[in-house]
Amino acid sequence: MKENLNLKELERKAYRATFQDGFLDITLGLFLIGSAIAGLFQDNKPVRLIITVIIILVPLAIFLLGKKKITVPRIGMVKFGAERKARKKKVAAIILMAVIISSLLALMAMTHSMPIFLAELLKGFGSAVGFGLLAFTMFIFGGYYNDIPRLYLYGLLFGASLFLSECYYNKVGIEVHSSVWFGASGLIMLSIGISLLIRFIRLYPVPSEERTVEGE
Amino acid sequence: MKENKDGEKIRSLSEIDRVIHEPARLLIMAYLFVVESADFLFLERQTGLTRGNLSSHLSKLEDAGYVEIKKEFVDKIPRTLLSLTVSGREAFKAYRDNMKHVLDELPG
Repeated sequence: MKENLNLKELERKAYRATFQDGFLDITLGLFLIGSAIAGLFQDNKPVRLIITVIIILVPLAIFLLGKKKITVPRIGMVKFGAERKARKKKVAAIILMAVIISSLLALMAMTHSMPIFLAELLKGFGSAVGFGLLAFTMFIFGGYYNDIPRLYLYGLLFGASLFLSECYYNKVGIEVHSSVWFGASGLIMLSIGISLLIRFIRLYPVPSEERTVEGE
Repeated sequence: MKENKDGEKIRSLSEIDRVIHEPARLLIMAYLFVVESADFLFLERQTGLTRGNLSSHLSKLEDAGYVEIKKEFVDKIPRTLLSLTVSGREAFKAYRDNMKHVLDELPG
C-alpha cells in the first residue's frame, strides 16, 4: 500500500483503470481498418454500404461485450462522481464545436463561399483539413479530459490518415490508395489494443469466488 | 494566550477520527470519496488489500455508519456495491481538515 493520498490522482487512477483493457484501442483500430476496407469498394455502392454498417456495428459490439464479459468480471464495476461527469460534458461540448467548425468548412467549400484568405490557406488540401482537424480535435480533447494520453497518438494517426489520403499525391506525386493510410493507422491501434488486452487478462484473472463483505 | 493555543492543538489531535485514521480504512474511504460507488472487486483491485482485510475494514466502516453496503444482482451475478453515506462523506472531509490543521501547526 504505497498510495500517495492525492485525491485527484486517486480518482484519475481509478478512471484510467477502466481503460487499461485495450477495448477502446481495439474498437478504434477496427473502425479504421473497416474504413480502409470500405475504401477499396468505392465503385460498388451496395458492398460499401454493407461494409459501412459492419464497421460501425462490429467494433461497437466488441467494445460493449468485451467490457461486460471480460473487463467487469476481472476488475469490477465503478460509477464516477459529478466532477468526472462534468469533464465528460466538456468533452462532448468540445467535440460538438469541432463538428460545427468542420461542417462549416465543408459547407463553405461546397458552396464556394469560403473567404478568400481561408481558401488560399487551404488551397490544395480539399476536405482533408476539415475532417483531419475534426478528428484531431476530438482525440486530443478526449485524451486530455479523459486522462488517456495515448489518444493523442491516435489523434495524430487518424488526422494524418485523412490528411495523407487527400494530400500525399498532390504534394509528393506518388499515388497511394487512401486505404493504405487508414489500414496502417488502424493496425497500429489494433496492435496496441490487443497487447493491452493480453496484459490485462494476465494481470487480472477472474476471481474464483464471489467478492463480498463476509457476514453480509 | 499560549495556553489557549496549546489547548487548541491538543483538541485538534484528539478530534482525529480513529476509524478513518487507520491506513487501510483511510485508503478505502479516499477511493469511495472520489467515486459515486464501486463494487467489492473494484476496491480490492485498486487498494491492493486482500479480500479478508478489505472485508473486515468495510465492516468497521459500515458499523461506524460511513459506508453503505448493498447487494445487487447485475445480469444474474451478485455484486456487492459500496458507497459512502452522507455522514461518511462529512466525516472524511472533517478528517482531512483536521489533519491539515494538525500538520500545519507542526514546527519546522
